[in-house]
Amino acid sequence: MTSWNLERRMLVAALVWLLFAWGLGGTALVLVFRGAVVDRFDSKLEALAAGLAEQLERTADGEVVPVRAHPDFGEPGTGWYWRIDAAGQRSMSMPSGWLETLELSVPSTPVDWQFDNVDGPNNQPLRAISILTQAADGTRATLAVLLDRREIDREITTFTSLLAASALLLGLVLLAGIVLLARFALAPLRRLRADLVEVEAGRLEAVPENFPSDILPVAEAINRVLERDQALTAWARKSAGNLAHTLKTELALLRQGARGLPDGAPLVAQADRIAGIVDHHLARATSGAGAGRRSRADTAKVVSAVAHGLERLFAQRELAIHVDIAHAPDFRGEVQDLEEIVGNLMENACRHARSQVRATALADGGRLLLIVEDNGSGLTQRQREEATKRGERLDEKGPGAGLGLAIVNDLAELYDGALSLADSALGGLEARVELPAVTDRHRGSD
Amino acid sequence: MRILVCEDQPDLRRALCRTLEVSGFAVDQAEDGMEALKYGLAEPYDAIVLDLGLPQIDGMSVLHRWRDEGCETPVLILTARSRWSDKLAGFNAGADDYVVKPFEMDEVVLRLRALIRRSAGQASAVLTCGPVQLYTSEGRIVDNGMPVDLTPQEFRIFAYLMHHANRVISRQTLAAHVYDRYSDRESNVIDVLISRIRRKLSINIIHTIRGQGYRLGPPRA
Repeated sequence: MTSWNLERRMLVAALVWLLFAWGLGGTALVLVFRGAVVDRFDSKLEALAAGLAEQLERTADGEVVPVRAHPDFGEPGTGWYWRIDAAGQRSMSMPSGWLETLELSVPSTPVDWQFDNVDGPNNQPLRAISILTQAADGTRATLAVLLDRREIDREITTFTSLLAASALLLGLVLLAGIVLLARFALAPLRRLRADLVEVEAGRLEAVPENFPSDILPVAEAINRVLERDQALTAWARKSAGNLAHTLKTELALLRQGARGLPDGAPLVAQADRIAGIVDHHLARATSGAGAGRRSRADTAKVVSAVAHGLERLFAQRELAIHVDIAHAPDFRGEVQDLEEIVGNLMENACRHARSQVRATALADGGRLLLIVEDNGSGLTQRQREEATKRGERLDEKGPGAGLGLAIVNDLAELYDGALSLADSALGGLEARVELPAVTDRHRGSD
Repeated sequence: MRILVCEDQPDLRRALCRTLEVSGFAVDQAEDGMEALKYGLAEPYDAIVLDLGLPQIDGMSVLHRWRDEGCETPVLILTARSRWSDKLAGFNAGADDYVVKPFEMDEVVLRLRALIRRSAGQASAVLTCGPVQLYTSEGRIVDNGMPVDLTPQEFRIFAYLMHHANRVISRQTLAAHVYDRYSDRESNVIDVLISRIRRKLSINIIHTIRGQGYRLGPPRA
């Protein structure tokens, strides 16, 4: 039950209530109708009995019989019978052992009419009336009239069928109304859900506050939580950044001091290693991948900006940095993380390239594929495995060098992506990173 | 060549300034963003080393203000912020180079020399005038294959003239690029230093332009 959505809950509750109402109302109606039908049937019995009572005469044999009676009395299969007890003799509409021995209630006075339900000769249900009356000559007689009461059942069955059909039709109309009502009433909640999906996808900063008055407080509360979440995230990132920057400034001093010592080389190396660990954990701590929200980043713009930055950083090397970004899909994630991934990959390539670096960004099966190649000396299989390990450095080309691939690997994993290393057609290393892309479906929902 | 170092951490700032002075630069120091902004706009530095985490005004804001005010001095950002988003923000703000802490002092010196050379429009790392060559990366002068031994002040004057060869440079401009804020800048001292440099070279390539200053160029026929 807890997993049912509101619409289903409303429909099921309405259906249960309708079934209950139908059951109660239907039963009451059938009972009332049955009472009316039985009353009418009894009235018929009474009329027949009264009619026969007026016709009673004593025969020469001493039996009391009606002079005239409805032709159905005495006809086999009609279910119509009469029986008269008078002056110690019993007369019947037809000779029958069953009728002869049938026990019926005995009225005590002329106004004490007794009714009985009995089974007929073929077990057909019969209803009997017994009255105390007099024959024309004044002989006291007990008259019993029996009729087939299946007539009552037939009428009740017909009525019940009609009632059920009407109730079903009414129920369907009511259910359709309830569905429409539920849809209409729950429309703001569905919109709220859709807005939250947009917020999660990064296409909306906050839930629009244009809801009915009973939903609006929920939207406002969600926005307050989102704002607090963003503020906390920003504060945590800033704190992590400040701590990292303070540590690294002190490390720079430590490193400088160690440079002047005769045996300072291990200290310098250790300072570099600590700085690398700080960088690594700072990249993870400030990544937006774990925040649950997914914004979008312009891949082509980021690759171009990084290439431009690297041209300045490596200006003395006169590297040829080519970018192929004509078919680059947008990255589904935070722009800072894409900058970190692209920046580290391309910086790593620039450090090791002899003269050429090539960065390609393209769509591959709904994913963003980044390929960065260089024409350096490349890596052996073992070096490739080491390169992506946390905090591992493959070269000693200065502080911060050689850590980029491990950071990229970590960030890619945070985005359910993957980094793979291979030989490049340019002669050096080829690094491929697969990342989530903004697909046409995402674009369409923007 | 004159450098402004903007760094709030005193020990690191002193170490950096000492290294730069030993490498032949005149160095001014700014310990917060306000000083950095003021000095950067007031003095004609050849390059600026800028920390991003400065007190009062952060380094990125200082850089924006310099560029907005028309200051085109090459800026090398020296920071602990190693994220690429910070690097790209730095380049977008107008930085010319970016070095992450901890760093090699020698790398900073090399990068500053390269920045100064490129900003002067010199593509080659070796500047040549006749038989005299200045190896900008190493801060070394060679005359007819023989090393020339100049004092730091002489070196700064000669290096500035080599970077701006064939251009007339006034004594005031030379003084502004050779001395730090606290040095006495008497123009006749420049004349004395120029005379000493001439004596140490095998050929006169520093020509006096009467009433204007000096021009470094090939020897006159």
